Amino acid sequence: MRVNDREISALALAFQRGDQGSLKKLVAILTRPLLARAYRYTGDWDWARDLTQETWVKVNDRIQRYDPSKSFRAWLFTVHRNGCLDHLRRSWLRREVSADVDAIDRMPAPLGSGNPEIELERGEFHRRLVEALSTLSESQRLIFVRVAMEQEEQLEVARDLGISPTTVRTTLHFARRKLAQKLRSMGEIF
Amino acid sequence: MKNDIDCRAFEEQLDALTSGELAQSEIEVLRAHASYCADCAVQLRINEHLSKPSLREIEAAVPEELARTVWPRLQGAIGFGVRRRGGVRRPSRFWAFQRPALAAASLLLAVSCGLLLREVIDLRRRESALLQQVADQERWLAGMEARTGAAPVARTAGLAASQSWQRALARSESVTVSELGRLLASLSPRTTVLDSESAGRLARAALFPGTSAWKRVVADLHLDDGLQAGEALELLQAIDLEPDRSISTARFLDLFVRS
Repeated sequence: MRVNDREISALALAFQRGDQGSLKKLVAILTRPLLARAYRYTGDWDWARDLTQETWVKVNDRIQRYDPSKSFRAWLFTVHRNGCLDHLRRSWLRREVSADVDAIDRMPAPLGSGNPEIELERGEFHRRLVEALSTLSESQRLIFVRVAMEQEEQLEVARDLGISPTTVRTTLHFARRKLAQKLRSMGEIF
Repeated sequence: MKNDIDCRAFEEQLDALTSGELAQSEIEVLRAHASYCADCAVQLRINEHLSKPSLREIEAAVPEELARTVWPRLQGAIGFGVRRRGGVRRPSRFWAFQRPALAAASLLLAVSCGLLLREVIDLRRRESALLQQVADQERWLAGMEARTGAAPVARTAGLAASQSWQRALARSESVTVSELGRLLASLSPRTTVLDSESAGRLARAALFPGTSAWKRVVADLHLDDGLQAGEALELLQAIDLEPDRSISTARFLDLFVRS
């Protein structure tokens, strides 16, 4: 369902004013992009659904904080991204505390070829990549996930965060270097 | 086109690679660099991993059944059918908003209880001090009784009766003539009901000219050791007042002096 940003923001405004039906429409329109993003982070559809549901609950609770003069879609994706990153932080913490193998196993491969061997390798790489994200600073992580994982334009990210495009590019450079070094230190993966 | 690039140039072209903007020859240059630069090789791998499938491809692959379950689950989570301005109300949120107010009220209540408790403790301490004072005065009165020269047994009985008399009068602000008569009759006739000083005032009053019956009675009494219950009863009868007349206990002596 393709609906432009203006229509979405109008629905959000109606929901903010108490129209419950608008929330249902927003969920119908925006749930798939949210699921896709959560899947990008977790590589697991069940987690993706839980995180997406959590995001909608937060939207319901915080709708009065939404500024109708701005894009609802951008606000929604920020809420969702924060929830997903919190989820990753919790999984990193669990690994640090208890070396929880189950938590690691809950991160299978993203969508792929259907070939079990390739899927297994992709799953392993995804797990290590997500783990390596924990070594980045907050700003490096945020810019990396927006540009590399959510495939947002660097200029758009810079504008949204209120920083210069050069800062985004430089931060991204250091984030990629750090990730590469961390992944290499984790062992042979090629 | 150059056959080799440095790491910086490699990195700058990664995004173009992701968005599919590079020609095959340019991709091959990138791969050639990655074949001998381990860090860039990992970056290429990360890039490929995150770009295949792209976010758009993942979105297209979202299982329809999964997407359909989100709204019903959400309704369950936020409280189905409960409406409010600006969103769907979850019942538990009400108490969440009230928590600061409840915490403040609890704190206020605790402070009030503390102050009240301190007041009660203070009152109890003052009560103990007053009881101690009463006990001291009773001991002092006992000492005074002992100095009257009565026999030990009579002194003790007289002291007990005297204290009862004082306490009985202290319990009310006034008594009637008949109540006073009954009270005096209930005491031992030897019980001292007025000390020697008060009795002396009574004796001096009786010296003034007059023929009242009570003056004749007083003249026959020995008031050096105070007025005793039997004597007081005789005096009361001599005054011959109406039985219902109310007498202030604080002015008991005046009853005899003014009559």
